[in-house]
Amino acid sequence: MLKADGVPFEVLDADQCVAAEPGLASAKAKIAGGLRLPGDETGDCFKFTQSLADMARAAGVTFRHGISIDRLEAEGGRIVAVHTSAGRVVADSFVLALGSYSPMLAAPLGIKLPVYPVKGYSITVPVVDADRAPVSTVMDETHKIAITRLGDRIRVGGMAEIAGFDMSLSPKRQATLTHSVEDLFGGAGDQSKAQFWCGLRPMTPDGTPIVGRSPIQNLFLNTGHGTLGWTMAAGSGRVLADIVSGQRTEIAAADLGYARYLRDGRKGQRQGSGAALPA
Amino acid sequence: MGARNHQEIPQERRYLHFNTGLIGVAKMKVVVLGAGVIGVTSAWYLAKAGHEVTVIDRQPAAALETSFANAGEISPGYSSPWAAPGIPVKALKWMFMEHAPLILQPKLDWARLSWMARMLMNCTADAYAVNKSRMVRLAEYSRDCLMDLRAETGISYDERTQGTLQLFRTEKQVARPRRILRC
Ligand SMILES: Cc1cc2nc3c(=O)[nH]c(=O)nc-3n(C[C@H](O)[C@H](O)[C@H](O)COP(=O)(O)OP(=O)(O)OC[C@H]3O[C@@H](n4cnc5c(N)ncnc54)[C@H](O)[C@@H]3O)c2cc1C
Repeated sequence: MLKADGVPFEVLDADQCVAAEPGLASAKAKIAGGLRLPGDETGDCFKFTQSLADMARAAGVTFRHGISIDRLEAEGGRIVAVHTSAGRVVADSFVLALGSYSPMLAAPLGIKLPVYPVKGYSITVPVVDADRAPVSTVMDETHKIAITRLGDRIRVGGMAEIAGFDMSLSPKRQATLTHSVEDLFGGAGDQSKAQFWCGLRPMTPDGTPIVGRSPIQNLFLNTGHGTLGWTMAAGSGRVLADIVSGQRTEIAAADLGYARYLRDGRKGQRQGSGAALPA
Repeated sequence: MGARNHQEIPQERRYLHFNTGLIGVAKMKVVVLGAGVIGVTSAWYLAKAGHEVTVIDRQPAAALETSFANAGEISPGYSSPWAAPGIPVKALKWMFMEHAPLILQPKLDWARLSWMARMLMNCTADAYAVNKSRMVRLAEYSRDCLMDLRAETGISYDERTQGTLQLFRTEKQVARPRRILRC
């Protein structure tokens, strides 16, 4: 197996692509080749998050749903409470993980998070012919669209639309997704039952998320995961928890935090170096 | 399944989970704002570290916004920034394609313009290399944490561990990753 920067990969010709993904058989003529990354995985992020939330609840975590967060109350260089539609909630530490909406909460505190919403779309269709369906994820490099098998469904996702917080669902975008999957895996799914969706990727300009401390001692950031929030979720959660706990993180994390956006002169002035940040 | 995967992780990628049963961590009351996949994983590991955790979210359940129906890839192999050398030119081309992968709404506000300017500044070869190395480091660690989580909890989520396949329709596309991957 070949490796680039430690990532194993295989370069495939059209026949090998079809061997890896037999559902592509009828589209073989359109394929010039492929690149397979055997170390990658797939899965339903929603199912995962719901299950993990259930397990967290069983482990004692309290979930308060249906409550909107209005602002953070700072006093003496610390956050003392979060103001919500259900009143004021106090705590020792706060973790900001509001995805694309994180900058709004941080801005009044003087923390300028360079996170901007980049809209993407997906359709989810039930599999009707498993032989024609993808086995794992196939990325259509031409349209920048990913086609993924999730149990008895096919998820087709992609596109980058820079349109602020607009959440409208235009049929034109759905047509692009339908076109891509039907072109490669024609007849695999029932398009009449497609569920059309859009979401706002919390993107940073440098692609790396913002995980770790903030200039406020007891406010921690875990946001800006952009196109890869599902890929990076478990690791980001673990790194963040270690930092909150004042433990040494298992991977270097100093350059994953907000400090990288501060000008050199201000880097040393971050408050609350209670926990040793790994170099 | 998790346990088997566990053994597949190359030795150099294993991390010592010496602090999972945290000793000496002051127990705190921690509020996590947001119950997307990021807020929930944060809450999980904070609870495991012994903290008293509350998660707050405006939706009636977890993962109902951006974490709801993404493309489902856990892809350390493709963890690279969008801001890359050559992207500004390609972006222009993408916008005018039929079935365009990139759509830029004409309404331009300050937040959008300054963010896009910062993104352009990250399109140099040097910035790309630094950014990519950070993303890959976190993504690979994350996949390993996920394997551990599966082994530990047996969590299932229509998961598959069969890799991903990037498909090229032209010879030009075939040549590009070869160059990037230096093969
Ligand atoms: C089309 C598409 C395809 C994608 N494909 C992939 C992929 O294949 N692989 C991958 O790794 N990533 C993918 N992503 C990216 C991934 O989905 C995101 O990075 C990830 O879901 C972000 O998680 P989050 O928890 O930060 O945000 P969210 O899931 O949006 O969570 C934020 C939470 O905060 C809550 N909230 C926000 N504001 C407030 C407020 N004021 N008060 C109360 N609650 C609030 C929301 O209700 C929400 O639950 C894709 C994204 C899109 C759009």
